[in-house]
Amino acid sequence: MRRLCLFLAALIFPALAFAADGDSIRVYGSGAYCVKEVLLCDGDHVDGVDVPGNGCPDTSIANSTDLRWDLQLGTVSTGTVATAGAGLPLFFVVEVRADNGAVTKTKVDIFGYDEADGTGTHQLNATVLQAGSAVTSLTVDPTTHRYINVEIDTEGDGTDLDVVLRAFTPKKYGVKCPGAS
Amino acid sequence: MPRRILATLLLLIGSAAFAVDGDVSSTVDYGSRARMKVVLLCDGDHEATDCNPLDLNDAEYGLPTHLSASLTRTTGCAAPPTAEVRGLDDSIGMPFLYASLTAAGTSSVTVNPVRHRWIDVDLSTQNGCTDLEVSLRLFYPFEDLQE
Repeated sequence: MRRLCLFLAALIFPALAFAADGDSIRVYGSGAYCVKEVLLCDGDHVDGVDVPGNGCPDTSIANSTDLRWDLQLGTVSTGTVATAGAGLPLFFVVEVRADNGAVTKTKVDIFGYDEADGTGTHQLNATVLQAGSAVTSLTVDPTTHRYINVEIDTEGDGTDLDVVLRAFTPKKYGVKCPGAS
Repeated sequence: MPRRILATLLLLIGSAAFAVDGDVSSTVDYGSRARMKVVLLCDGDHEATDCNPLDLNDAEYGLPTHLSASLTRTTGCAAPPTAEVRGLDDSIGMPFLYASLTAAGTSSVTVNPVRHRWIDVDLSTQNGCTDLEVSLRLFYPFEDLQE
């Protein structure tokens, strides 16, 4: 019975429910752009520790600010020397798409960095992003930095905070976007 | 005689009168720089408050470089309707409000560059409308559309 329930749950819940910080969730494209979507934050992100100390993506590290999203490579930056990648997008959007279970919504800031190790920190948003507020989304057009990170400005009490990054690159006519299904 | 009247009516009444949400109303080439495609996000009497979301990725020409949405017709409405134009990260995802359009106030919004894959419209005070239209103009670089 338990196995049956688990099997049914796996069928019912989409794969997105099991995504984690830094996971690529979708690649698609047509017309003018190819789009790569990644979850910069996914999880409860409520550990009682305010900034600094709760950056996304932090993969499996509870309180880490030493990992950033590398727009050039399309991966979490580990501070290693760059190799060939998908290339920088023309522009990107960072958006709070869910803050489930939150009475007090989490506030987040978006940062760009000059270097992979976090040198040169620049806040890109003028107003904090917060689910249910007037500002839930930030568009950076054109792309201004290679390394991007989300920092929790003020932690809320939600159980699942989703912050998605969409990177837009120009699409060539008649050429399928790399990685698109 | 009735057949002749019917045939005449069919000729007189334009095809636009039978358009519904999501219909493409026109495609226009402007010189050599851009192509514009017009889609009716909302069209009809609209007792319903929602107009079906449009998936730009699956639209005829795909994702545009930018778009604009306009409240173009509010025929017969008992009160001035409001059309909230929204971007969504999924077909039933979290909506992001671009603008609230009214005929007397701001009636058009431009989204440049395109930011969301899905676009929809949420209507309010649309009671009594016999023809409410929200048109979406999608812009594409002309060279990307050449065969």
